[in-house]
Amino acid sequence: MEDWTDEQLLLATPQAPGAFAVFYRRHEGAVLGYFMRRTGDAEVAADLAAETFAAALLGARRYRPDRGHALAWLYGIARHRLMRTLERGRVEDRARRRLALPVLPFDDDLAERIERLGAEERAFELLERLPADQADAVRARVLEQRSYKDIAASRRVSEAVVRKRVSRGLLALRAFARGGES
Amino acid sequence: MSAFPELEAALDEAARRLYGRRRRWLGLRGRVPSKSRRRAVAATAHATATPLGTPPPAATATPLGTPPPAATASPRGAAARRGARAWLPRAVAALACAGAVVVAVALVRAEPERAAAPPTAAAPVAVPAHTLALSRALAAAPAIAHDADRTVIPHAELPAIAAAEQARTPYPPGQSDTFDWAATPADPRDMTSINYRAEVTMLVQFRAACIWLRYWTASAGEQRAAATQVLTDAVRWPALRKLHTWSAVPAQAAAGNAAALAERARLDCR
Repeated sequence: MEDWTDEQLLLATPQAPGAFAVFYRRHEGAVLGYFMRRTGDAEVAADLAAETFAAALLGARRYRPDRGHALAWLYGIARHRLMRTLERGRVEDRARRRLALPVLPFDDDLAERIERLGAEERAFELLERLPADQADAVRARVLEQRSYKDIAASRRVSEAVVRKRVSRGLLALRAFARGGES
Repeated sequence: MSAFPELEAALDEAARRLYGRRRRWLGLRGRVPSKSRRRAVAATAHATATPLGTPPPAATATPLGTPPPAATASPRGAAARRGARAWLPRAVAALACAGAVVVAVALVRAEPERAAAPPTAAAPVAVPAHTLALSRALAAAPAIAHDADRTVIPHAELPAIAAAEQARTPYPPGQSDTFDWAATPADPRDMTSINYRAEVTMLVQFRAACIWLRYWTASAGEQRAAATQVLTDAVRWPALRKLHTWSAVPAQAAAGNAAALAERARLDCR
């Protein structure tokens, strides 16, 4: 199942419930990071992620791939849950109650992991705002930790060009992070 | 590793509670479920979830085409006399059909018990060398390219494509996969339909692994040793290669851990 598409995993869930665990693991980090970035509170992010995945599990039997990708469907649920939380001032727990999910323990370790995911989400958001060549160079150098020489060879440009792209990209990211550009 | 393993475990448990009970009807291959129920079932998982290596109860469950007794049991006048003559055989047929359904349900419900049958249940036929060779070849086969060929298979060709795939797949002596490919929905827009070669490959291999799991449980001696060998290969078959839930199966089979393998069959192969 690990190499199934998201759509296959959701379609299979009603008959092979283990498929949902694969779907969960695949998107857990991104969803937690998404909520962490938007709420700034790891515990709320954990609750929202739990409610989102619970709603996705309940809705898996109604999922139709011809109406959109599974990831878009999941983020649709996530956005909806986030909006309702902002409207009501609390995270709803309807889906979790329907599934009789237990109250999950929340400790400092989990908070730290979720905060880290939020930071990663932030980094990827900022990266998307860079020009493509700079984003590519920063991703290769900083995230994938590849050498300048290797990057230059794979991009068929000189090392100096790669260094310049990385340098400019990091400068721009710093400016974005300080809120110098939105 | 999951960042929030407690949530993963809780969701997994909830998924099994929520959907686990929906599988039983799938064994009634001769019985066509209601339209809404058919739609609720993804054929992909349908194929992986039906009892494997088991004589399909379809032959005994044939309630279709039998007029319901109520339709003939309210005659008036001449029609009443004709109806009365027709009533008895039809009622008998209806009762027989109802009985067949009960038998079929009992067969499906008996499945877990039969899976846990003592080792003497296996036929004492050696696993041929070419079966083991097929298993080894499959373990070395390239990964299933789910996105490589998105050409929708014409529904009429599905059984032949599956048969070709099954010919490359090992099965225990005297056993085969009884899944009725032709009975899957023909309309590719139906979410329960099987449309791509990669899906067929994946399903055939997964179902074969389940058949071996059951064979291992019901076998002893040389047969069990051969089944252990195939299960050791099976976790490297393209369909199961990345399936971490099966990664412990070879060690469990080698250790003779029947409980663990029966649990794996219960979770994945019903």
